[in-house]
Amino acid sequence: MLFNSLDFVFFFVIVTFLYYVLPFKSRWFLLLAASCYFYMAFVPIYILILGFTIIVDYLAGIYIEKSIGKKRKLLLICSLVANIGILAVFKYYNFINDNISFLATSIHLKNNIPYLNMLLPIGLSFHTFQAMSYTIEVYRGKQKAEKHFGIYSLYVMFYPQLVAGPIERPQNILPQMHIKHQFSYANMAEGLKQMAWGFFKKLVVADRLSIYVDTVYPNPELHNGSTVALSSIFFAIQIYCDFSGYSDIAIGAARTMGFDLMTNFKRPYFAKSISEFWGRWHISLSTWFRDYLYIPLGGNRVKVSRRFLNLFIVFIVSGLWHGASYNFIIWGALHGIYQIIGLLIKPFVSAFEGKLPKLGAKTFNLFKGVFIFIIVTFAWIFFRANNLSDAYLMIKNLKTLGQMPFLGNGVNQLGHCFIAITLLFIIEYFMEFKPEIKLMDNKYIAVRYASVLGLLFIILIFGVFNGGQFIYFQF
Amino acid sequence: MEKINLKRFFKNLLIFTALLVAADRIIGYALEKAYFSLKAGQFAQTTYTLDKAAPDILVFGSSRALHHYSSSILSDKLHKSIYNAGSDGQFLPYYCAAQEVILQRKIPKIIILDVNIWELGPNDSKYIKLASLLPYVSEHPILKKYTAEISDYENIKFISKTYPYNSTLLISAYDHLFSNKLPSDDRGYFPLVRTIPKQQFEHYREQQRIYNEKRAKQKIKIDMNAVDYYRAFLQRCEDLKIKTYVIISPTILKEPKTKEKILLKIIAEEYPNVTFLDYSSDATYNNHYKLFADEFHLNDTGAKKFSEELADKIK
Repeated sequence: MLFNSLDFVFFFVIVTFLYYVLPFKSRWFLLLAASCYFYMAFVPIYILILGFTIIVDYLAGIYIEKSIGKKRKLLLICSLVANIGILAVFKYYNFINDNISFLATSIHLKNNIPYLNMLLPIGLSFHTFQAMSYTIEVYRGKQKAEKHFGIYSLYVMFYPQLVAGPIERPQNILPQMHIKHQFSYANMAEGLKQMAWGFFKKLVVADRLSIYVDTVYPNPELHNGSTVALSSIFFAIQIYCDFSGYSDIAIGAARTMGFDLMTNFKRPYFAKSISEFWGRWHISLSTWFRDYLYIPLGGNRVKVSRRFLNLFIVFIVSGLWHGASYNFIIWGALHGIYQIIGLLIKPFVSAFEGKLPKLGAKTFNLFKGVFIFIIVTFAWIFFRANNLSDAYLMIKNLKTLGQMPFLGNGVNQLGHCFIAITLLFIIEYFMEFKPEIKLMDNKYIAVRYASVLGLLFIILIFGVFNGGQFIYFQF
Repeated sequence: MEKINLKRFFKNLLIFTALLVAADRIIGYALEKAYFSLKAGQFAQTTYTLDKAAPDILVFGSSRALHHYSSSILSDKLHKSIYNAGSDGQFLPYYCAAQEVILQRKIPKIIILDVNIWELGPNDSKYIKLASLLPYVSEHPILKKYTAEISDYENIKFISKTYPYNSTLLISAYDHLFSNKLPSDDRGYFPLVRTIPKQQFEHYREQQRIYNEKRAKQKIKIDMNAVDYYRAFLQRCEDLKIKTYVIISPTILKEPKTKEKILLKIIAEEYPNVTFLDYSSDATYNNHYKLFADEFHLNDTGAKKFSEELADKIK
């Protein structure tokens, strides 16, 4: 079920209403049943995969807690193998097979391993990572094993964040599932406002920009450099609004029932360095990789060359997490390289900044922000292009940057895109630099009502109501 | 505490809903006024097509129809009144809807249906673009079956008075401000006066070569729903004995014989009153870039030449 559908509006109203009407003891069951229904609205049969990982990790958690020494480690490995195994089969099998075929052909052999012809279960990487964080935390002794099978299932399946995160940690969400959440006006109002903001990002910005992006990216041979540049900038903003919009709706929907999910985005395009960008972008995944891959690899407590290698590995894996193709690997590798260069030049940049006058420092900050946006956008080309040759063609076409870009159907298409981007920029600028100016949380009721109504009517007047699904569902 | 919270929530929800409904009515009314008071531009043309047009000859199609059929030439040569109901970015479902509405008012003597070569190919946007009919549903309830193609809950969305005017504000404002600067409207025909530069044409030829090579390797699915619309359009013409011309108008490059193009011809030939004319491989136009405004449309010179030629054929 898509958040940007009327089905979801009905679903949300009914589930939230029942949540508060039902006695506390039955709430977990309601949320679990609702989450199953939500998930099965995509491809029903895939609930079995989810069921399998839930049973494996539930049992693993209990037995890991009871065990010590090698047995404890073995149980963790079994759980991780089961989770990664499912990911490998559904997400990476065909990719690996492709590579085997390529290697076999290059030495004049034939690869007879059959391909799997099935859809990737929606949100597989998200709930698998959430499930893995549970068993790892139990293994580390930082989380008690959950004995209530229903509550554990709900931890993996909680519908707001089931298919596209935020990827929660058990320490944050599991205790909340044992608490009776009283109806709170503040939670309800705050949650609904955050959902409205998420809908604005998705319907007004992301889905509007996607019309242009989806015209250009499938046929790069038909477009000049200006069009490639414009569509890539649009995609950079589209993917941010699509994904962070989803997170806002998820966090808001959970908040209406009293649950606090972790923040997933903090206006990443205001970042002035690549490391700051990653501190603001998909925070739940970045911290997952930090805690479960980067630090176990040695983190910052190793010599510099090893630290750089660790960083690079993390970003390659992050690329692979997004998808089984060389496009995503290159996207990850580019970010790895950006990070390493960023760390190498950091002392020089800081020294240079220290010598600048106040105005110069502000200008330099602006330059850094624009530069980060440009290099991040360049990497997005690999992320969005259908394959490597399309990405290459798009970058090659950048030579013709001076030509007139493709205008779509003129005022209608590009005009709406620019209105959407301008509105987004103005609102996010105030959120970032003038947080004291609060319209939707203003002390005057008239301002609060007017701003919420204003946001809803911007969505109604400028939104795209027949846009596609969220980009990150495919991961 | 929970009861107080609940009471407060429902009280505020009630006030908010009342304000929302009131604002929806006011904004919807303002947008409706802005939309239907337009004198020129695409919206005004759609309004004229659906509410008033009643000529002897009707031209249906996308922007290629709009820019390719000179109403004055066809009207003068054929001694009949004409209206060009071509609409930017539209496909068969829209032509079908417009045809059904107009036929309730007047049965024309001739219908020209300009089809794109990609008309029957897979493309969901052809249904989403039916949203341009939303402002007319209250006046023409027959359109509901077409707008139902947009999404599952279109009829519920009509509760809002603002929704039918979604995405219209910007164009309404633009047309109110600048429509007097648009080329004069010749019974729907919208002439394009520019000419594609040679360099742009050659670049397009190269792009198209790569695209056609790529396309030849792909398995293109036929959109059977679009086929149904195509048949419904032609069947209505057949039932009312309207002489109909299905035309693929001139293209800047010779178009390959695709599955969709062949099917357009085969289906058209099933109807005795329908004549199928394909100019997409006509050497008079292919590669003659000076007759084109851009990669997809004839300019005014090209359109007039084509309209003269077509009128002679129809006579």
